[in-house]
Amino acid sequence: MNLIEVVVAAALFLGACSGAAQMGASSAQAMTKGRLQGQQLEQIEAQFLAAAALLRQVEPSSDLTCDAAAQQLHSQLAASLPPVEAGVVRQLSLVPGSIHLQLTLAGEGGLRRQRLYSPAAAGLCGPVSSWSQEGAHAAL
Amino acid sequence: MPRALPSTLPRPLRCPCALQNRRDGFALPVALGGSLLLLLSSGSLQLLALHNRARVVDQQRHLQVEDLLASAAQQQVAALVTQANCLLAVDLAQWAAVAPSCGLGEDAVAALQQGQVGGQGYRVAAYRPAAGAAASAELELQLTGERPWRAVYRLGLAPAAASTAQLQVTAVQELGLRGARA
Repeated sequence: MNLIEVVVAAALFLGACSGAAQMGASSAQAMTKGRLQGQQLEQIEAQFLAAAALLRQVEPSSDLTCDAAAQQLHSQLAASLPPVEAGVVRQLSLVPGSIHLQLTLAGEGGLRRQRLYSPAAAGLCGPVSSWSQEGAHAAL
Repeated sequence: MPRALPSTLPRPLRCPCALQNRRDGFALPVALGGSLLLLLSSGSLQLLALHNRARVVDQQRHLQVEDLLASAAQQQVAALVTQANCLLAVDLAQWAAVAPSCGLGEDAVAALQQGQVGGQGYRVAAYRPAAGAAASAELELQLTGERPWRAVYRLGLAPAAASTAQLQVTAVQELGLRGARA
């Protein structure tokens, strides 16, 4: 064993250690981000499940116009959806020019889901002809 | 005359200096082996992280397709209930024949069989009211983009309170995606 061999071996090992440390840090960061996104996806799914549960519970009625039913459904959804945790943003709004509600949930890293809900699909209103689908097309 | 030594003596005995030479060069192989081990294990971790990320992205894409189709179903059901109520009890294949009796023209029927949601087109692939007295129907929608995913929804139907001649949809139940078919 001479000095040159020891120096070459040490340099090789140190280089490998440095590379492995960088790759390990990068992997840990990616796994943390993936875990966070997975948790946010679960939270977002819980919001949609809560909305679906509410829609199953509402009593069918055709006393209201679809516009009024959409307003009522908006209030009910806003009151019954569970709170979102930090990092997730929820937006529930009426789509202008239509009877649809739009629930949008966004998380970190470009995570975003949105769904339309219609009171007519939950039995909350009946035949009307005073709305158009253009508003929904433009909004989504 | 002395006898010749046998030629099958063990190596160390034949050349004792070989063991010493082997000890001299151990640092480089050990460093090489250790380095390879380190790089392999960190590479495995990297692969695991990449796999995890790909799984999350794939799951997210799948959920977004579900959202698009669920939104399309809500939009389609609302259009049927409010604009073409008489077609709720009619199979898709009969819509064109029945529509004139409800005051709907060809254009209206064609518009009812397709739509757009979230910048993505879709079409009604099937609409099947349940046979007999069962008050339900199945609505099948298909995206018209590069990946034509399909989803089926079961609609609960009931006579409208305002007029028993009309129907209303009481619930929309997702029966799941049916996968993309090229």
